[in-house]
Amino acid sequence: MGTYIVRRVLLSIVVLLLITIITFLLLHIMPGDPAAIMLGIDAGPEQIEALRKELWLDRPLVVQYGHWLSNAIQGDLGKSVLYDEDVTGFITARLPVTMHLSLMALVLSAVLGVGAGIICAIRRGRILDSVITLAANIGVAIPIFWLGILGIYSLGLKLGWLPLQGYTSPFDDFWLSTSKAIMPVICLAIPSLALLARQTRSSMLEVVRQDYIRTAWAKGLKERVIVLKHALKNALIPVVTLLGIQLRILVGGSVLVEKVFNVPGMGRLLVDSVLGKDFIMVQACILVIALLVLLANLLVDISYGWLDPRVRYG
Amino acid sequence: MAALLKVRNLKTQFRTEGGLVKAVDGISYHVDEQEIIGLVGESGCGKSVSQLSTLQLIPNPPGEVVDGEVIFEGKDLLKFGANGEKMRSVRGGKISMIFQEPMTSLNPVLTVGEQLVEMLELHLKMPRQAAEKRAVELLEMVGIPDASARIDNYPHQFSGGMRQRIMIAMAISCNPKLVIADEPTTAVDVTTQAQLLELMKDMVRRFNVSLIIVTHNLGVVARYAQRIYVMYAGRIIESGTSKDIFIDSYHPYTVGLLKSVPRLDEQRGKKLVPISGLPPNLVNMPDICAFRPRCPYATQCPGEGYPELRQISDQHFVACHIDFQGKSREFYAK
Ligand SMILES: Nc1ncnc2c1ncn2[C@@H]1O[C@H](COP(=O)(O)OP(=O)(O)OP(=O)(O)O)[C@@H](O)[C@H]1O
Ligand SMILES: [Mg+2]
Repeated sequence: MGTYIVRRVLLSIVVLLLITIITFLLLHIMPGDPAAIMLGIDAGPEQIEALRKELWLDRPLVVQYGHWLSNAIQGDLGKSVLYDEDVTGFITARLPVTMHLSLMALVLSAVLGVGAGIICAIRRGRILDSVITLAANIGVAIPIFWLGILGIYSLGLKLGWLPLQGYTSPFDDFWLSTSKAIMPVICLAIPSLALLARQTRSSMLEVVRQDYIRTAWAKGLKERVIVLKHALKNALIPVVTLLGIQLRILVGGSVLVEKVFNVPGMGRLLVDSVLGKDFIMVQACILVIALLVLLANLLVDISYGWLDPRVRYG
Repeated sequence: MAALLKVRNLKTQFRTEGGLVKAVDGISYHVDEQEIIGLVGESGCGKSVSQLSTLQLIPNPPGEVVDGEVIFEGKDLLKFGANGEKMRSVRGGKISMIFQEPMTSLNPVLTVGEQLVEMLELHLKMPRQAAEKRAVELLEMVGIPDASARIDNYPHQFSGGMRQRIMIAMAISCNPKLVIADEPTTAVDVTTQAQLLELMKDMVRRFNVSLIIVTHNLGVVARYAQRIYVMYAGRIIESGTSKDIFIDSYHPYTVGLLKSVPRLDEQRGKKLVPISGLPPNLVNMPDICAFRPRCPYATQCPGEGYPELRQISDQHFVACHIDFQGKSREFYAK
């Protein structure tokens, strides 16, 4: 297991380098002069030239990359063009917000999704299975923003049970924070939850047909042991793959949900920066999001190794 | 000797889209204590289903044991709730099974040690440490080299033959009374096959257990089984001692089976004769002798309906309308 993890980590570092190159190039791939675009049409040539100097845009690409990377490693991702402030400050303020909501959504969808899938597989063909399967199919098809608006309208406006929008840190006021988080977290979780439930159901049904499950029954084991020990670990292998994909979808979901619920997170920062042509900020956001996805994939790979010895020793 | 297991009129059916499959259609057999018996028949004749039925391991739906008794130690196992406490204590504890596919019958994500230990903990109530020690001993006993290190390996780190040895270790681990080996050697090469069979025979002797060897290869049971049951299309069509089956074989199907396998005691160059035709589809079978369409004596056959098993000598039973004892086979073969 040790060597397996080391291998995955080394591979991740290589991917990390590639990510930095691509994010760095992002600024240069876009047509036109970045400085001119950032400053808009009113800017004069001297202003543009000054910004080019400031951003090292007049140097060779390799030098620029080296400069940018060494700054980035020290936590300096440049200055926002829009606010004339360090990008890093924005990110350290916004990142915990997104992480808070996404992690809650992830845990919620993983626990409930896998649980629902197991129940369906055990109760295959019964009423409970049909109800959950139907709900999961609806959940997969439902648009997040529509669900969000519906929630705000019914639970927030009409019934007044939950705050309409916004975000409070759980360290400031736990209950207010949680009541504000409920709707965004549910909106984020539902698509993943539904997909995970379907995947768990189908892979459990696949696994319980296998010969080694018949062996487990023939050994006299209890159904609970067979399901949770012999079947689940095998069935989770494809589920974990899906979970890895879900993490990426969660990032996309954050963009929508943060907009709908007016949550000051990374997703909204990214959208606002794109609209405001704040390319330095966009670059930083994408780098951070890519890093998170990379980290998530590393975790997925490690849990693969934990679940499946054939991967670990392969 | 006293009968350890007595199966009477066992019937198992599957509801499929094509219709009702009578996979096992009223079979009766018994196994005495410390006896090795063979259950032989072509692929699809219901051997596995019959054995799974006795332990209530048939997936329901689509399958169901619809009739019969399985008397083991004086109790009818079919009266136990399918996955209830009583049934589970028999499975693996008193009757254990070895399956056909060594590659897929062990759980790929659990160590072989864990798969052994959990049985010892369950049936023998051994504490963890004692169970681990016992597991190593069991693996040594079935000939796994370096057992104390390999106990932590996963199934994919063993060859097919080794895995089948592990299955044998699991099967005998909780001192069962009966081991059912369902085609234990079909998926391995001939040398390994012989080793595994010898190993099973040794284990049976050593632990005083009875053994049912299920196979479609008559050669496999010839050396080991004291009595043999021949199955065809969900029923037993002939049974008797090894001598009854191999020397005094009666049913045209048994005779055909013997002609279709190579034998060491015969001249070289003798042709193998396959049985013509295919085994019947078990869906919606008519109530006639199932072998009739393939029987070389069909035109001479006097009987109608399904032939019941009748006794032709002490332990020898056969389900055939034709009386070969009155007239010679050549007479009917015309
Ligand atoms: N789950 C199932 N659903 C429907 N039919 C089944 C099922 N399992 C077995 N059968 C049917 O029962 C019949 C007997 O199958 P069984 O597995 O007992 O054969 P077998 O004699 O063990 O053959 P083999 O030598 O190939 O193992 C087959 O015709 C098969 O089609
Ligand atoms: Mg079989």
